[in-house]
Amino acid sequence: MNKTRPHLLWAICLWIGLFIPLAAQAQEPEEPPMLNVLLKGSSIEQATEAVIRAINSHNYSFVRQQSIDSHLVPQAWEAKSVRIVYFCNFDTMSKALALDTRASEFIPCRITLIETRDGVELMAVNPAWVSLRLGNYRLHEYCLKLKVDYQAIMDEATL
Amino acid sequence: MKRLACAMVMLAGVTLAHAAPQSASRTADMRDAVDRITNAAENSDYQLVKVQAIDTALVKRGYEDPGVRILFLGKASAMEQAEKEYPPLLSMLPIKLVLVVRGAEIVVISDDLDAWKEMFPEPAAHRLIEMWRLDIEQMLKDFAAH
Repeated sequence: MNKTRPHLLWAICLWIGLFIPLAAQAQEPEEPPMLNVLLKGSSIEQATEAVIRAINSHNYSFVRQQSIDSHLVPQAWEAKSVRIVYFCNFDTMSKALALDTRASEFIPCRITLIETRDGVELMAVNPAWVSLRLGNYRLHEYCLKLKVDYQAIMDEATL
Repeated sequence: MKRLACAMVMLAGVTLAHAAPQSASRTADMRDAVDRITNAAENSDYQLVKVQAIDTALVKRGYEDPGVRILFLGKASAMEQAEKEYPPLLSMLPIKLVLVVRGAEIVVISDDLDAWKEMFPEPAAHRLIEMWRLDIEQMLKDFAAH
């Protein structure tokens, strides 16, 4: 009995350490994996410009935009119907990476624009969904704010 | 008592196993690691699309060096296939690998493709994601080899 006690104690500590955060996670409201917005009646060029304007007005730096197959096919053959816009906020990026290098999973921020029959669909991975999976609550706080910024940028682009 | 302890540890292990990006490491500096992963990608018919030097970008602006660099890798046929078979997956491309400095080693970490499967539960998406997972596995093997 005396022999097993340290093992049992160790197991209980490990179990509590692992499951208390998981229990807290269970209480977090569910997050959708993707953030989507449709820009009705826009061309992909207009939508790209609108997204870049919205990025700049929300205190983020526009990094670059590219076709989905950029560098994979000759420039003249690049797909016109799918573009990616990258952006970031250096201060937030530095703080998030200092907290957890797994923050690189959603760095740099990116929005994919896909031209459809109805307009242009904006799609982005919800960083709060990612951080809930990672189970780092301090990082999750950043990601909730980041999600709100994504939504604000995407919504402003529709105006 | 022992059984109870084992059961608890096993349960904890199962819970931890839910998120597991692929990774590989080797002794190298960042430049060497970028070269090696680029070669490994080319061996699997992928091309380096962009190196996002997060480390130098942050240092240049007065922040601490996070020891992180991001590589974007693509394959034209993978893009075409995604566009044809499951367009929402285009939002996950090009594939991203993160290089992290850990002492004298560089660890290369992929996105968590199991998470992608949760995001896109349809079989058409899973088929493509599984193909990319195998491609990444091969690249990481090549990177770590020799």
